[in-house]
Amino acid sequence: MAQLCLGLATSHLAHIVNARDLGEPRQVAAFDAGYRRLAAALAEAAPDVALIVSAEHVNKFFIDNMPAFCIGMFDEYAGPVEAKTRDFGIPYHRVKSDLAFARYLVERGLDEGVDWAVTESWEVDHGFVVPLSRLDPEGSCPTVPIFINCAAPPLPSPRRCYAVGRWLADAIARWDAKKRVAIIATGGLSHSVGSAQQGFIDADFDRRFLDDFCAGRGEALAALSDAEISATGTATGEIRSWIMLAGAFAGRKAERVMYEPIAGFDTGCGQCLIASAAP
Amino acid sequence: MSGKSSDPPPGSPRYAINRAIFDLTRRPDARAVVADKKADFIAAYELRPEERQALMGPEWKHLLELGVLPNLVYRYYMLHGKAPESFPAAVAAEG
Repeated sequence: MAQLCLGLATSHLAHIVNARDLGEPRQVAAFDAGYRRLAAALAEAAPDVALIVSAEHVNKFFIDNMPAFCIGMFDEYAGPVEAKTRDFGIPYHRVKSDLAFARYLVERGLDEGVDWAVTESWEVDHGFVVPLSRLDPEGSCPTVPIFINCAAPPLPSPRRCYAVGRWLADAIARWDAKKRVAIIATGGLSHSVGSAQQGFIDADFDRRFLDDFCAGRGEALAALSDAEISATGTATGEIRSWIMLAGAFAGRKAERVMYEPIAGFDTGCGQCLIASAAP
Repeated sequence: MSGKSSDPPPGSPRYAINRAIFDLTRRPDARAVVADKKADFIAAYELRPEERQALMGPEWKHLLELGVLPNLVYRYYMLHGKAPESFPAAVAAEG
């Protein structure tokens, strides 16, 4: 049976690639070092496939057809879509995926109360590609992208995201494949990019969130309300991916790799790592 | 109910203005459209007068108040050749 071997969580903003000079150098260096730590952990864990869970920034998913959760089901996908219209710092390229694994998750989910939307073609945005460019620049590990609507309210509840995470762990454990699976959650932490509050970082909230996340207190994260999260930043809702990861590793402690409220990036930037207990 | 099949489909109160910006930001020539043909582009959408005004201004704070998704406002801002980090000041300048 398949085995969940690693959990990684990271902020995904593109500034680390194409606007580095806006950040205070010490903080940017910490973010870079954090990515190196996560990349080393991913290489050491050597998963056969990784789920990458992220918000998306109204590039593919629009309010004419907005799912709460969507899985990409294909052999490969492409991105970053931003590179098609401007010099983004990461070239547009193809990314290996795992159609069989995605299909398994879709079929099992549809039978067990996780009503996934499915896309069979996806040009992902920076939420997926920026972390992958740092964690696995060679693209050696196939990844299955999972979207959570964090940009166009009403949004799925933190509790629902946590529950889907728990379901993912269970589904992976029941997958009849001798595969090692990692889960990468991207986004957050507090930020308000594109709103009148842009620039506001709620570092107190971020640190409390990370305290609970690293202590394995996922239920506390699941209990956060949308209002509580939105009060810390109009885009902080992206932490739903972290909450889903917390559900997948329910009760497991995590290593806080870094946290820096980077004013020049308008974002509280954090990274964590959850090692699996299984050999 | 009246309406031709060629009319744009109806949507929620925030739909049309979000649709206009979403469509614009997906065009490879988006910057050129903003620079030279913005009025023509906006005219093709069924928008309320205040929505047209907010798009033409552009009025960043007003766009947010009209329900345009922040990611789209931000992208529309950058299509006007503005540096992303200048967005907060631009919003604040509108009072």
